[in-house]
Amino acid sequence: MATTSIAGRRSQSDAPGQEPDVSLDAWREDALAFEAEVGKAVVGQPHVVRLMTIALFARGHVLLEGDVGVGKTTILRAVARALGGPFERIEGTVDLMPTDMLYTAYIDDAGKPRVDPGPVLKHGEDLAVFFFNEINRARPQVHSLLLRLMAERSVSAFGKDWSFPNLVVFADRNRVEKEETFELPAAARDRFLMEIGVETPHDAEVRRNLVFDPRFHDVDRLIGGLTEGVIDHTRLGAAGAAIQQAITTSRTLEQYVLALWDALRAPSSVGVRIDGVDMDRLILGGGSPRGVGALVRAARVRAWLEGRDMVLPEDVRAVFAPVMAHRIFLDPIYEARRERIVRALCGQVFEKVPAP
Amino acid sequence: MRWRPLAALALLAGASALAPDPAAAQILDRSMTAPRPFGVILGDVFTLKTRVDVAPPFRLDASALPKPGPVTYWLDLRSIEIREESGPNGATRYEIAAEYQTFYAALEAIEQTVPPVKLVVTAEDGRRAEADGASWSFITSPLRPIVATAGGGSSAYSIRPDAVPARPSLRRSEIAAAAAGAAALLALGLLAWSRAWPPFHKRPARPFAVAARAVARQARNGEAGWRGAALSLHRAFDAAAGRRLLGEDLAAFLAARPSFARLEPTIRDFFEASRQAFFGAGSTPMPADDLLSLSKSLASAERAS
Repeated sequence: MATTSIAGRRSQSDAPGQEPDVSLDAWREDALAFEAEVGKAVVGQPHVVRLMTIALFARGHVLLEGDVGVGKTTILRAVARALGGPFERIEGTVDLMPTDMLYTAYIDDAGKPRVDPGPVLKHGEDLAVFFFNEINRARPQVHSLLLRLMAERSVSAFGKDWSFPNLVVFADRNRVEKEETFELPAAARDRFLMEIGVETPHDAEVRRNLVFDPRFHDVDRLIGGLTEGVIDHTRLGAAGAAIQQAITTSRTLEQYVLALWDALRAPSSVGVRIDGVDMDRLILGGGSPRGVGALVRAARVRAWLEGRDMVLPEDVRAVFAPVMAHRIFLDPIYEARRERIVRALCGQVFEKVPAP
Repeated sequence: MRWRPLAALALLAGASALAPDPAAAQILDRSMTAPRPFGVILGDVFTLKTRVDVAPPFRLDASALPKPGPVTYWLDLRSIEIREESGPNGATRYEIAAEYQTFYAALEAIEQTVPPVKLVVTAEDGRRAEADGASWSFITSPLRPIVATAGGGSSAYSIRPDAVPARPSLRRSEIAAAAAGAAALLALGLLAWSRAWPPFHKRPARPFAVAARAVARQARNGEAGWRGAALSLHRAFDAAAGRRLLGEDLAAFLAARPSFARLEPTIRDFFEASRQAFFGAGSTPMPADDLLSLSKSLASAERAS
């Protein structure tokens, strides 16, 4: 495959301003069918599947975090399968370089060096899901390339810019290992719409199934058994835009969200108290405007999935922690206890800020 | 007077020899009562009573009796009284009470004798008869001087201090009074708490009572009033739930507070109306009257719980 032929794969179809012919009710049925399809392979994690669905329709990237072996990769593969469209993955390693994502260099049969498109470019601009496994093992150079891919949905390679209008980036990282890992820079974390924590299911029956049912032992067959392309990934962007247009936020809700934001930036002002924490010096940064915008985007999608045309505080609450928690920056002395503190903070903010 | 007459009187008629009686026909009977004849000391006063029955026409001659004044150097007659009454067999009975005081300073216990009084009876016709009354002997004792005993000093014979009055312990009563006072205060506090009187009128445990008042004040004041009333009710739900209660949490809230369960449909209506009002088109689908009655029902359900 010659490099020149790659250009021909660039999508010509993404004409901007094209009016979507979308019925939101039909889309909702598709979304619920999508959830059900993913749920066939992913058991005991309905809220994770729901959040993934919200992220897809809010056109956001997702970072999954959790222990080893809880099914992060399975969830992402199941979502990618049910979503359909070209899917590519890469494993984060300490010696991975940014160019490894764009190019594949090898010696061909004739003994000549060849450079082919790497994982990101292999499917051209139609790429739907890019899955970055163990993202915290990759070096900061890789993170910064990923940053551009996520923020602008474009990269430069082979001497031109590539644009990926339908792309969503899924990444996961396990929180057990800290050695030979690189913490994601704040800017990169901010680009993820959600950071979803995946935990071992609590329900005893689900856990018994996961361990003893042979269906869950062969992940390839499990994923392969799912219907591919339950929703049309090329029209997700249009559907997402339509949702953002159709779902209204009242003045009261806007004030509520702003109050939440204020509470997050200055928790002591609303009386948030966490044991063993000096609330006045806890917060270095309490969510960016982009983060709060993402919160509203995700809340709109959630309201739409619940069959409403208005956003309620419940919608905000449902997506608040996944959307905001990883955008809160704590004083370094509290970073070690981050998970507990941020969870308490998000919980208390909702207890203190009145709604409506 | 230290000396007191005994209840038991000694009849001393035979104790002292009565003189031979030339006037036996006139003086029918003589007898004397006296106090106990011992233990008499300097300054004691005693009364000797002599009873004489005189046959008529004789009468006792009072002028012959001794006059009050010194009898001997150690004995004074302080007074003498005669009482006359009719006696048996037509006789006249005289009772002579003679009060003496002894000034005999005895150095040792010694017997002394009070001399007998002379009894003279006379008749109209000048006939006259005499008889001696009974004499009375008694043992008089010295007044012992207070001896300073060896090393005793005055303290041994000085007046003892007054007995200290007993002081019964009031501890039990004090404890009982304090307990009763505390119980009364507690009861008052409980009553105030139960009735949501000050200072409990804003306590979070009775948020619906507070909300009901706020709703009654605001609900009918048009759109803004309705919204304010709804907000008050929301705050009450928040306080009752211990956190911000959103519509999706209602099922869990009602499961935890069964007293509100019978109001469930109305509560759900209220939350739906509130959603529409605050987050939707801005209409107020729940009439103010319904809001008012809901707030009252909630307050009474809260009291019952």
